[in-house]
Amino acid sequence: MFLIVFIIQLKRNIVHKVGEYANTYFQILSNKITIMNLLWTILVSAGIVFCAIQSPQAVLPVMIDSCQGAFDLTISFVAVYCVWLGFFNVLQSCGALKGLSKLLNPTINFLYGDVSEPVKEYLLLNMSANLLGLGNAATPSAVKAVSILERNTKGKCTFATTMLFVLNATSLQLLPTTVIGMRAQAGSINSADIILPTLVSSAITTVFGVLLVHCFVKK
Amino acid sequence: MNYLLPLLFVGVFLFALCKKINVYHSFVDGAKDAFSLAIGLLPYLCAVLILVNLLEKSGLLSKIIDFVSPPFVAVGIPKELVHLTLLRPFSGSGSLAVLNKVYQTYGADSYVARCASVLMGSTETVFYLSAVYFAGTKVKKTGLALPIALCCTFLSCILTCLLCKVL
Repeated sequence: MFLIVFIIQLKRNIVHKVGEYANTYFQILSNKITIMNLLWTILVSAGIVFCAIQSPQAVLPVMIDSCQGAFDLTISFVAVYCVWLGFFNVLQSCGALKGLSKLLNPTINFLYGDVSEPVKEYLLLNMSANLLGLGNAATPSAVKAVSILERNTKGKCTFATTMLFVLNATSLQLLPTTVIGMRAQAGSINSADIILPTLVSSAITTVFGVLLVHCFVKK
Repeated sequence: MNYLLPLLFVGVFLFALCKKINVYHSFVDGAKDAFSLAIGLLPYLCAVLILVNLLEKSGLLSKIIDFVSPPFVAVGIPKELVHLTLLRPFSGSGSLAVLNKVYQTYGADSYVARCASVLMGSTETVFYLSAVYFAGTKVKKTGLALPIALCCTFLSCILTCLLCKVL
């Protein structure tokens, strides 16, 4: 009798425990499984396997070289950020942005919804840098804006951040200078005739991106 | 156009001086953040570059691209450009190299080369960009940001190939 009660109790305990474990396990799993996590892990593993089949010694050097590349890139970022963030601060403290931000307020409000004043100024800088084709000025302003925007969210991507990312990913710019230069070098007769299609294509995709964000991302 | 940037800098500095602002101090204050912001990127860039380089070196990337290319050809992207289309979101320097190869094989003024140029100009290195933007923040789930950006890139590829025929 006691034994039966004991076993039932034990079973209940075990079921309870297992349930608890399963619960926490799934919670951990759902926290950890993000697109990037899954994609990165699977692709890197596959890359390592295929690399190792050809030459096992090459795997580590490739990985270390990549990190070396990342380091070089970061250092060049420091230089670019120093110049632009310094310049942005001068712009901000002299009040030049206030006028511009009043002028473009409706656009920013439409695109990003409700954002705080300092964020608005960085978003403004990002927008102008993108339109002028100053790609290396656009990145620091965007990174700065994201770092302020995401300060108080619990790891979730906000509406404004999503919009900022999509707008920068569609790369609306007036002059694709790098490509024109490369084409001219390759011996093109009319290297600038790609400007119009580039502009039209990126304008349409930008509108499409804005619409998608407005439709599918909660404000 | 070349004078735009120098003029902008001088104009803003002089304007700030006129408004009695300590320009030197203000510049240094702003530049202070540069190091911490950029260093925060390092681990993320490492991860993304390891991924891209491993895939490229092992030859897996071109195999994957060959495997998934039929739907891209079906929507009107020339077969020669599928490689560029799929490489573009991952690697900026890699796709520039492919672009150069396209110029050399087909001539810089051919339809394929024009398409490739417009494609380079109107799309971005989305994965690399996501590493840069979301590094240093607490964002773990990027939500719909990445899928929407990739959708836009895909649309841009189709549009490009259409536009280059017309314009």
